[in-house]
Amino acid sequence: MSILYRHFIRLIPQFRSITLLSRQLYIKSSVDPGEINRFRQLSSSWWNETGAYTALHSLNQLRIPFIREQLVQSSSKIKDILKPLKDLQLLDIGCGGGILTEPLARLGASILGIDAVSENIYTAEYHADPSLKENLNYKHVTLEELCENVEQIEKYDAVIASEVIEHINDVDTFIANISKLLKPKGLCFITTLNQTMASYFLGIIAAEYILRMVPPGTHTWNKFVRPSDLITLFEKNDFNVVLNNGMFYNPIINRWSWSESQAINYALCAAKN
Amino acid sequence: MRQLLLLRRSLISVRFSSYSVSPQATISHDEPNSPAFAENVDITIAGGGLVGSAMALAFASSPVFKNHKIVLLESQSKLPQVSKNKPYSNRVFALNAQSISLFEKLGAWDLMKSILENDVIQSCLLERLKQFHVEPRLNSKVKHFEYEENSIRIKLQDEKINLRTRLLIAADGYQSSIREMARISTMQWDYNQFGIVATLQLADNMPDNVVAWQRFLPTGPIACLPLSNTHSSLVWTVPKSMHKEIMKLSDEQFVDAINKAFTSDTYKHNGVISITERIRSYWQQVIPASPTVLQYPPVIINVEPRSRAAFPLTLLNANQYVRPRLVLIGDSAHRIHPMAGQGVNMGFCDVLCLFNILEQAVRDGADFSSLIYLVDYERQRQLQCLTRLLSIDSLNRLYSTNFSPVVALRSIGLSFVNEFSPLKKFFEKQAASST
Repeated sequence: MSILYRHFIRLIPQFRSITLLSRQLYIKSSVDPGEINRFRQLSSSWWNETGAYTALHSLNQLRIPFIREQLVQSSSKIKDILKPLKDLQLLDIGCGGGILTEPLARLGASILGIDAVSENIYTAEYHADPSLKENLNYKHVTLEELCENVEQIEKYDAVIASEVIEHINDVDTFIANISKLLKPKGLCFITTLNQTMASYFLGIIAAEYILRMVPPGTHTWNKFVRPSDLITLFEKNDFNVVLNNGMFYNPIINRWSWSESQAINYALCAAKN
Repeated sequence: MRQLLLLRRSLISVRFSSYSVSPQATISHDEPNSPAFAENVDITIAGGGLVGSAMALAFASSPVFKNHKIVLLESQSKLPQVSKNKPYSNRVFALNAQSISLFEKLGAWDLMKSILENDVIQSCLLERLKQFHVEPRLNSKVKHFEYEENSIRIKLQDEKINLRTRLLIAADGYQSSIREMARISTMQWDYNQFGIVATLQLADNMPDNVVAWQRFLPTGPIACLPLSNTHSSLVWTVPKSMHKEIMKLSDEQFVDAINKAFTSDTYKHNGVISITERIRSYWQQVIPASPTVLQYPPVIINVEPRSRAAFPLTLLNANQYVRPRLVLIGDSAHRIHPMAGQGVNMGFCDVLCLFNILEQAVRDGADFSSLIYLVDYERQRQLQCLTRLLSIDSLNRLYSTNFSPVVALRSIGLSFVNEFSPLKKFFEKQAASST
């Protein structure tokens, strides 16, 4: 009970200034040092399928077909059934241990995974399948640093930021940077949590403290982004939102499914104009 | 009572199992004294029987797995080959619609018919496997396996050969050594019954020998499965106490016993028959009687020499069908009473389910031996197999008693199902589809 009380008390002053635009007033960089430290401690458990990241592993059953179908539809070439993403340049921001990056590489994409935590990059490189070394690369670099590299500008067919923006301070700049790296008509894939009462009680209290599905303190509710705010920011940065779907997680069987409700988790696909 | 406790224990372990690597399994880090050479393969199937060969053929014939190396291991030194002139073997299976569609998909159905012997099915599958350049490795029993970082290292009975596989599929029968090595606990009990099989020769050439016949005796069901116009296959379930004397009978006495079992009226309860007739006359006023064709049991004149065999009947269900990088399919996962002819069909259903799930995993770019996908297989199959095992078990118990009220209830129940066509169609569909 006292955990709930403390959590709630901390949030009350921030309820007043909850919109994204007002959040930007006290931002310096998009990466939060507290977040980095937390992920550093968990870097070794990325590939334990029954461990702390079990929900991310099972989320692949939803997000890989989602990404694959959108990319295959937007490209007109007839593809190899086993490597439908061949010849596509992808960027995975906040790749962590490579849970999403590796399967995409296996489907033929040339993919770069970047993360702000060096231990995650080490874990990802260590786990990488040797047969993928030509098209799977990892780099310990932030999005801002990558944007400073001229060769990266307008290089990518798609950028993926899955379960990332809820850890980012300045989402507007984040999207602007993504736009710099995307080719025209390139796609941006986001999966994240909504900012609702449901996501507070189920996504944080139940998930982190009661069921312990993710370690406590993984998520901060006031950083969650509402779909409407995210769509506004995308349109502001000259994107067109193509798809917007809710996702639901069943912790008993550890399976995700698409949902009509975006109350807790949702996935979004936007195309650069 | 003991069986209920076993069932309860197995249900708990199915739900809360942790799927962790068994503490007894060693984790090898390439010790200096282990043989340095290990052949790297993707999928290893241990057991070249019906279910194992079907599984291998499913992977070999799929374009999604064309870049994967598949190995089929068989502990025996010989496997059946197609031959037109051999006498019928005594192990026969009735394939259901789903098994037939699996074989059509694998391109092996054209070589088969629908009630088939073990040897014919197996040799057709192996013949088709040859077309994809997958030959079973004979004399290759798995002696030991251990977990490595991202694979399983297998030591075969021939000490020199090691395999390093990403996924190990155990199709090595109900006494599966791989299941024992993985320390997977099972729920099992003995039926105190033996199944007697034989190949029978029928009187007169009967062109319409297309009906499978089964009669429930107080000692156990006796069934006759048609093979051709002149031959049928026998599956007779008898109590343990009776099987020795039946096996000792001469061929003529055996044939007499079979004919008597099919036709004798000594087993009928006159009281039950009159009650059933009366109740049937009541419901026929509401539900019109569907036209029933009277079927007479086949008349047996001879039994094929050396085709008579007996085997003990047990129920078995492994409490876990999967472990990291390890899957149990077929009889190694579950064994059922033969009365409904479901055993091998359940195995083929395992093959289809596992294949579909792994194909989806490869299409999603995942590591196909990932536990997430294997657990999906287990979740589907445990539910379906356990319910089928237990319903056939209950049917066996229902028909094992001579207690008149139960006999009356089951006779009335069975004739009702027979005449009320929607219900009959429902049960036929269940038996045929096995999902």
